[in-house]
Amino acid sequence: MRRLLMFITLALLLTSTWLAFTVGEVVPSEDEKGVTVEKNILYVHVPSAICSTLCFLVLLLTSIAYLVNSKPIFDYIGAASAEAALVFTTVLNLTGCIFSRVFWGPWWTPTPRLLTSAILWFLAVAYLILRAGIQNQRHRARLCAVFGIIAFIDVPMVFISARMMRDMHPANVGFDTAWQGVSFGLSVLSILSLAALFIWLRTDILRSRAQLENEMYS
Amino acid sequence: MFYLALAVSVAWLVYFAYLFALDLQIKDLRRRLDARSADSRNNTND
Repeated sequence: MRRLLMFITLALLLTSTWLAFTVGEVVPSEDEKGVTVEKNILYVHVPSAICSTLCFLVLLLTSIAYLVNSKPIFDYIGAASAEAALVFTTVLNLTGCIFSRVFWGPWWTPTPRLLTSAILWFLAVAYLILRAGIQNQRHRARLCAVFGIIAFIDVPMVFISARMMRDMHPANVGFDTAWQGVSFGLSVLSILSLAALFIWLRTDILRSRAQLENEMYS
Repeated sequence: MFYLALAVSVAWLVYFAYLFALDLQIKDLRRRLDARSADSRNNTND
């Protein structure tokens, strides 16, 4: 079942990449000539942003669920979603740096959207460092759940930063053709399924490891 | 443009290979868990 889902995800990813760079190619405007490649990075950049936001949302929900009923499974899902959030915030910030360098000049500049996105990456790193630093399972799960809830505060800030504050980062993405919309939708879907698979696999590993440790010490 | 598409595709393939490695890791963990529980069952019977 899982293997089948993995191959479906791979097929989705390759199809969306192929569509995005052929029929869905975004052509730059007159004053942006020569930056076609960088312009099309948005097919990876924006889905990564959506995906990392959703990973933080999963972290928030599982953190609340853990604090409410203390079931270890919520702690494992939270940890796995934090790892997925780290992967996708890394992709988000790296592709953002390339975009910034080409269109605005500097690799990075402290505007509200870029700053809050960078903080998102640091929060994912901090969560994983915190997790690695505590040995006691219950104490670690409780503390990480509290941190997961606090970390989510940055997510709405990322969302509203370019909309409500002065920022050179565009607030929305617009497409000219239907194929571009289809390519974008498929990119989002494939990256989301990739993240879901990652969370599923990592949750299973964390749960099995904990079971094994419990059996060894019992 | 071709190179960007190629780079993105290769990145996805690498990430997919990592997921595949995780899947194998889970199988190994489950095998060890089964072996342990079978072992403890045998000890109880003895």
